Amino acid sequence: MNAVTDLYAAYSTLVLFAGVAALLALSIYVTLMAGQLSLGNAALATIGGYTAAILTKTYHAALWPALLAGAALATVVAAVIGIPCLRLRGIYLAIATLAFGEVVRVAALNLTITGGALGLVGIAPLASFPHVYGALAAAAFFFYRLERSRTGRAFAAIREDEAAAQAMGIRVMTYKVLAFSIAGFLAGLAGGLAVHFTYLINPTQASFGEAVTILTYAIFDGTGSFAGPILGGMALTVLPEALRFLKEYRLLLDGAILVLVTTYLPNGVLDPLLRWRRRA
Amino acid sequence: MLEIAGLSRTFGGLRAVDEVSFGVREGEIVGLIGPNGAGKTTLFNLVTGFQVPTAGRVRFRGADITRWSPDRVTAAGIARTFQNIRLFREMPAVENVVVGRHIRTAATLADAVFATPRYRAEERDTRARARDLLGLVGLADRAAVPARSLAYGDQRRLEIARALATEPRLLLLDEPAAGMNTTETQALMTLIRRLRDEHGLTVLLIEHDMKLVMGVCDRIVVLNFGRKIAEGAPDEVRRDPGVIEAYLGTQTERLRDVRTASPGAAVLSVDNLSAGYAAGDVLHDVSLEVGAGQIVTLIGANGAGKTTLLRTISGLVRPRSGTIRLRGVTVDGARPDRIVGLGVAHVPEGRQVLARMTVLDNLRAGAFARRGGAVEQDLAALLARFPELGDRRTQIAGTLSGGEQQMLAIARGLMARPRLLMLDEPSLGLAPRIVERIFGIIREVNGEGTPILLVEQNAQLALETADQGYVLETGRIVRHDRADRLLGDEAVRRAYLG
Amino acid sequence: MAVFLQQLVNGISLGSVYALFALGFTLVFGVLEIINLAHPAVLAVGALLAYTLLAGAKTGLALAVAGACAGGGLLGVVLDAVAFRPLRLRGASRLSSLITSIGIALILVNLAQIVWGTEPLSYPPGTVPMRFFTAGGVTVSLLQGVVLATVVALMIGLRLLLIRTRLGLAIRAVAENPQTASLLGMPFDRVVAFTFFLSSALAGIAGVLVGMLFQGSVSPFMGNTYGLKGLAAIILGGMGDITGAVLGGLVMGIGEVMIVQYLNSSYRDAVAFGLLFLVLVLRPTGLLGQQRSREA
Repeated sequence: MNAVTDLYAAYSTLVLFAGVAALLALSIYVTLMAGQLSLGNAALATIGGYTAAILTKTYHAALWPALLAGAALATVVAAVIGIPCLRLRGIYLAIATLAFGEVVRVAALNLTITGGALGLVGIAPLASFPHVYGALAAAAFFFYRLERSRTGRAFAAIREDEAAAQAMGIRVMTYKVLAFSIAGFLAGLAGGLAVHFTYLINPTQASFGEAVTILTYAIFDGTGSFAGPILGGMALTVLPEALRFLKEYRLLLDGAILVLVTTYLPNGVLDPLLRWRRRA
Repeated sequence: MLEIAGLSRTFGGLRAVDEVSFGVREGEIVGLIGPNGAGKTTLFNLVTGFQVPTAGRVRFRGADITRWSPDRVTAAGIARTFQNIRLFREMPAVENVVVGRHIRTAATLADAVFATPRYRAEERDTRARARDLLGLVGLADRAAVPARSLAYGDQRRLEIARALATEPRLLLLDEPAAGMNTTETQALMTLIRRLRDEHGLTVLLIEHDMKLVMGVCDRIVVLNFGRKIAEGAPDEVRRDPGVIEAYLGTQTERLRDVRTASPGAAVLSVDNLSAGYAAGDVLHDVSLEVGAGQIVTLIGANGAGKTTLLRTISGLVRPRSGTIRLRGVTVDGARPDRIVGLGVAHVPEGRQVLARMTVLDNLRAGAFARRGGAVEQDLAALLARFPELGDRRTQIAGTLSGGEQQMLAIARGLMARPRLLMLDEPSLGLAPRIVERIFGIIREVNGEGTPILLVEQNAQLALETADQGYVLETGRIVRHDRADRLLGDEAVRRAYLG
Repeated sequence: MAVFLQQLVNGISLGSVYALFALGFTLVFGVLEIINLAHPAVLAVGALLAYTLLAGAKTGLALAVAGACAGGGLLGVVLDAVAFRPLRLRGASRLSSLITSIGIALILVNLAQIVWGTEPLSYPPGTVPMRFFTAGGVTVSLLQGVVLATVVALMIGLRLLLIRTRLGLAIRAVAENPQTASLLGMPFDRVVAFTFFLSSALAGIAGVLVGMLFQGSVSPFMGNTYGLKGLAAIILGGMGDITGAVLGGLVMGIGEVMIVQYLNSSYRDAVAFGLLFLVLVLRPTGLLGQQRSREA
């Protein structure tokens, strides 16, 4: 038992990061379920993170209210962004969310409340294993139920063929905004949690690079169910640490994963997106 | 039940649907027929909210549904299938039908997450109904098969089951029998009758298969060029001269010399060719020959496979079995650019000019595969021969009229100095006077020695122009004779009108 | 007024490089309807190749530019063969191609890091000519002039290629309607490969020009901002439209310089991307683009 607790103590931050990565991966996964690629989730996480941090640091709020407030704000922003983006498909949507991400990053860089380029430091270490993994377990359960629900089927139908989904009476726009909102909540929550065990937050976390990293988590496994992103997020956070000597090749690893999975393992999450060709 | 009044839809200058009015009474099975491009699917789109009409009204059970969105239309009780089959391909068959239940169920996400009694009851009920519907269309044993793996006919039936899941009062079927063989078509006819007799549904269907239409419909509405040209009981419509003309074309006044050019060496030989797309074969064991100097025409109803045959010869579709030989060289399975290099020019259906490029560029593109000079001379010669094109040489191709585009497409084909010219429905969507001009050009070109394979829906005109004729029906050659002998042949009329 | 004109000159100079970069982007999009996000990485590789030629092999500037051009072009062809063509053969979605291109970008940047290190490198002194011309309060450097002249020459060359040559005709036809182009005997894969060559060669040259414009400083990460801004440029101008790419690039360049001058410079990027977002939402086809329809 001692060995385990020693190991944990040494790697606790890593383990927590893995949990957060899994949550972020799920946030992108839910939009992919509805056939949309959002590259703005890193920015949403940052919004959640900054909000929660400001609440605990400046207003001495308790952890969960702060986390939920951050997640709520991220949800609202996601929905607001999602609405005008409704008519955009595929690439255009991805770029629009990317642009949104950049706007957030620059705003964070410049606003005084967010501490400018240095971000915020000295945030209270309020989050630990039960918080992160509790949230992850709840999220996993939620997805488990979602995949077996009418809503989940509506997402899948929209992803396959929007026109046919409409012909089935599905209000496509409403469901797309719903997917975006859930994504916002998860990302915001993840961001808030991360902030409280890394003690800091800064604008680079909303960058394109971060958004891409989250994408790799989500498509890594490709099992076609929510377990994929969770595994992907955890594996891709832990592996580089375990393979320390590959640190220099981190980007290459990420890139190679994207290329290999997309080209040779197009199952699960990506495969339904391949139905693009047949869409109007 | 359904009332369409003065419905119109215009795209730019094209009147896809032109002041169409008719009604469908409760419990009727009504057929909507007409030649290719007549506006039938557009009409469906207008009724179901996928497109917005530019004029007119649609009323369903008293309510004005003219501008409603598709999901609202479905909620009101109209369900449809699609011409190109739009199933959720990755989902198993049963899942497709389950999605169809969406509009008649109400469990929210919260219900699902907390597994409330309402959620559980609805899931049970939904699955039971889905299984029942699959049984109704004969797919019960394939419930778990992913939709994309189903046979073509099965996919069509699955689409019907999915539409039925929305509990419609009116069912709109778009070419439900396309790609089905005779047995399957019979089964479909039985199903449609059952749906009306046992389930109280009203049906409006688009079809090209005349056996089905004449056999199952109470009433038929005929469209051509977007307008309604006839309406009535099957027998009336079948004998209506206007309808016959729309499908087969008119007898021209001129008496022509009977064309009996002796075949000479075969330029194109197609032997026992079977080919098709992922969903299934469209052509079955087709054999065809074009001799030097001939015009050979391939006629048949829409959906018979004529365009697929040309595309297979061109290399855009891979043949499954059989051979294609161009002047002795085997080309089945070769890539398009190789076949073009051997001297085949294919003028595709719908013209397909390079819309945003100029007339000149289009013509030069036609000469792309040629080695050697004289391109510019040919260009000048063609522009002189087609003064309409010469006058518009720097105009953007997409802005030309339909007839001018057809001329451009043919001229573009000629730029390749082809050994064989293949034309796919050159008369489509063109006014009679222009069609005459185009066919005059076709005769001229052939007179200069180019063999031509002409695919046409306008059987009359095609048979008057050609030496030999082949009649294609659901992917098989059913008649082959000298064109003039086919002119009065009953078999031809039956192939189109059943 | 002088300030405005000066910034206009600066903006045009910067914008012309954006335009060159956007041209490559739009060429590939026009033909394949995919966004190649590895394009910025090729720009960086081109700039770095030039560095090696200038500092390592001590060649002249012209040869360095040629090297970057050829190297970039070759890289593009390899990428098409190795990554994009397999996806085409499989009938994969355009989104898959987008994701793959992101992966390739990462790989290229990492490889560049390994070869050239992570620190910014400077072109040898003397590479960048430091002469200035002043007229009416406006200063134009020789460098800016050279950059502008190069870009203009390349654009004219590209236009001539597309309009006057058989190959250019094939590229335009394939971009317009791939099926019909096949029916006319145009070899699709080879046309695509050449388009990639062209597009990446332009990226390589753009890389060297950028390197020179910014005090000859290059690094493996320099492509990143250009990626997003190039994207913004082609969306502004309409994807797949050559003139639109040029216009978009110029607007981005001038706009950026003007915003720094007249508004808060730190919000410069935010305004650019906010604009991009609005354009996408309100007019996805861009200022000049048209709805593309590819009915079979």
